[in-house]
Amino acid sequence: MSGEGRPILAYTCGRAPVELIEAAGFEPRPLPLLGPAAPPRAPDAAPGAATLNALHALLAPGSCRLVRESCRSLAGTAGVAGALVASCCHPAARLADALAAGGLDVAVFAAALPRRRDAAAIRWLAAELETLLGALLEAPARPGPPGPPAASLAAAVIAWEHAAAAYSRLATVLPVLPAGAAPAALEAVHGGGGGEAVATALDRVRVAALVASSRGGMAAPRQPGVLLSAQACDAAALARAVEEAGGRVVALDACIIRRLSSNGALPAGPPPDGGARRRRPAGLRRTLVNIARRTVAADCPATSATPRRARALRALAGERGAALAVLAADPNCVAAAYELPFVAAVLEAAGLAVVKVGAPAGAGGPLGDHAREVLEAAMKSLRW
Amino acid sequence: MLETPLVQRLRLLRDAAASSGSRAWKGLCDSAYRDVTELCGRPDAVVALTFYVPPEIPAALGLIPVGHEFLAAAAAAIPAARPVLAAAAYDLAPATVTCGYQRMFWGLIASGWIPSPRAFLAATLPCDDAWKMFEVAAARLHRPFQLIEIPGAPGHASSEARARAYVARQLATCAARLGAATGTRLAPEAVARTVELSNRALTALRRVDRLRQERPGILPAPQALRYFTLHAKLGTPEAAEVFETLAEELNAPTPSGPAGLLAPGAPRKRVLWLGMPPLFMPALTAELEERYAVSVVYEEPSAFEGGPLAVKSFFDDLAARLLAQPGVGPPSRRAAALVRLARRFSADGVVHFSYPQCRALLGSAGYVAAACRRAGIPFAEVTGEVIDPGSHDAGRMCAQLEAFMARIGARLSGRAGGR
Repeated sequence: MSGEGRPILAYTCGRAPVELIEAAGFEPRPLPLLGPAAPPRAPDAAPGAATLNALHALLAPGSCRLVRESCRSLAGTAGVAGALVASCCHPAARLADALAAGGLDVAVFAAALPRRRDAAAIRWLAAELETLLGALLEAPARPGPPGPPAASLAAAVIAWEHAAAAYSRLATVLPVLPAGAAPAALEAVHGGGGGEAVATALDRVRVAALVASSRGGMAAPRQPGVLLSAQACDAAALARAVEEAGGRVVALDACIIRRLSSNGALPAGPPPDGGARRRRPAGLRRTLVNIARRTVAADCPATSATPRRARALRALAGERGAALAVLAADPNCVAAAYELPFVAAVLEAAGLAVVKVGAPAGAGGPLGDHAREVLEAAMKSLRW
Repeated sequence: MLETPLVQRLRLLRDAAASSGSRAWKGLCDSAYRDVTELCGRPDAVVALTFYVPPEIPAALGLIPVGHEFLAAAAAAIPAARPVLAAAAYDLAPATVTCGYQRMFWGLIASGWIPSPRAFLAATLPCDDAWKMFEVAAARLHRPFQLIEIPGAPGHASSEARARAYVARQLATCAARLGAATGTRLAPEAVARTVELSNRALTALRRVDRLRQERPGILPAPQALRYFTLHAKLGTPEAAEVFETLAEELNAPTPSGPAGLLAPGAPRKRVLWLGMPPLFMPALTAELEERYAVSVVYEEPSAFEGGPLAVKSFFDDLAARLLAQPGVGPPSRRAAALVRLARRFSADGVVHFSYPQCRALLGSAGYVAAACRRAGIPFAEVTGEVIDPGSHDAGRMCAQLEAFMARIGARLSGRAGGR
């Protein structure tokens, strides 16, 4: 249970339909880091080693840290009512299967997200989201009696639009903010708690950073601007490492902010709150289509958009004045393994320096020494 | 023009097949050789497909469908192809993460062994590797790329109907876009011909399966796994003719095929083989049969589900067929299908050949193991490599196989003693 009294529903993937979680009355928190609202389980309530081993045996071997840690986090945390496992890659789909196969006392909801980016994908996803919303509304741990879904969904959509707008405000001033703003932004999103909470946290980061810069903490102009693209890894730790190495993060492309930074903004505004019964299905459906559109627009290496993403990152780097692109991914992310060399080639052809970092795998610290050395060497060469 | 090692190998196979006495085997080798020579001579007529993409679509457009896994598998047995693999690991994606099939296919193009096909068609199953590699390859080679999304198998009827409609819509779009990109179009008579050929091949395939069930060991695994490559040619005359000839040859009182087509001899342990064996060791399953007195009665790749196609509902039927494959959906579905297969072929044991970079197979090995355990069928997961001999541990694989064969042997002797 969160501080606001709503039961926590954990979710995976930056493209997960968080609006649905909120609309069903839960508080969304991203996995694998659930934060202080979800304390560790008491030893007698924790699943046994046999359960955990069985669960791990069902995961795809070579799964990324996000999948493995999500599993561990759910198993080790108390007060989580359920998990929405959104997947657009096979290891994540296997996580949903493994959790559904049992062993943990959390309700599991699966959402397969499309890899394609077209109207057919949006239509299909919207229909699937309707089924998912129905399942969430039926969840035993859901607080209170079922309310009108169209109204609560509209409210959740507005809340997440606020979060997206707050992110946009922060992202545009990121190049002039002092060190610490980018990691703080990523942590704010990771804190979860719903759309309004994320919006407030992001605005707080922006205001604090602007206040600091007005007091003379403006980013040193000689620090090379960095475009940080972080897939399936701890983006906040990476952003901090980039700053420690002497760079400043001027543009972000990370899993956790995927939904907020998608360029497929919700069209036509939120639907009416469904006061008239006969209008409810139409409003609900329209909202779900809009959510599906936003989900499909928020692409990542696991979606079919490699050439488009490479061009988008090149444009973003140019727009924000980045001199260096740091492309980081979990070493086990297959999609990134294929995509990163292509993206790197496109960015290099545009005159950008590129470093690839095989970022945080497994326990033992968020970022390995080798990755830090790579970042420091890159910064040094840029300053030279 | 100089022959590349791949063309040379397939030509030698074709020449040897001409004197093998089996028309089916000859037809298969002819088809494989023709595919590669067409790709080298007329690359604009060839479309590369990943597993699960219905070959009937390019076939109906008058294009030549070629499965990229077939090309990779054919090259895997050529020692000279090893540098190709190594080069791809450097050029495409690291070998520690990616699957050998993808590296080999990209390596063949990058090293000039084959030219780039006209277009790349991929499906999101069985793995992320294949479609992602196709997407990157198409972008690098400036070729059209189409992706067929196969939704994860849903647990309820409404989702299933939706998935079918979604896939059917994508297949229709794919055909239209592929036609536009290659200057071809779907003519009704071409669709009718493709449907007829595909149904003929499927009917013959069913007959082959029935004969294999009735007379275990009639088609040894190494042979069967080669015929499986024709799944990527359904809708073409070659697939229909080869499968029909194979069914005919297997049905003959004295099988007239190559060395592989043997009548069952002394009672042997029956094994169901899951996944592919190491393709750079073409004699492995034959050696296995010889050494441990086992008969690989069926192999998972040969299993092909789904019903016939109709002209009127071409894309709907293709979608239904695609979604009917056991590998589509949650791993529990694959596990249940494999247990049914093991029972159908009265298998004494199931060998799951897993290779480290194959997340599709490895990800569901645990489910298959559990399902076999529940069904009382001995199961072993054997690990090795399929394409890349550099990462294959033959000693470990043999030890795992040996232990399993001993286990099945002891179980069977126990049963016989009990009687």
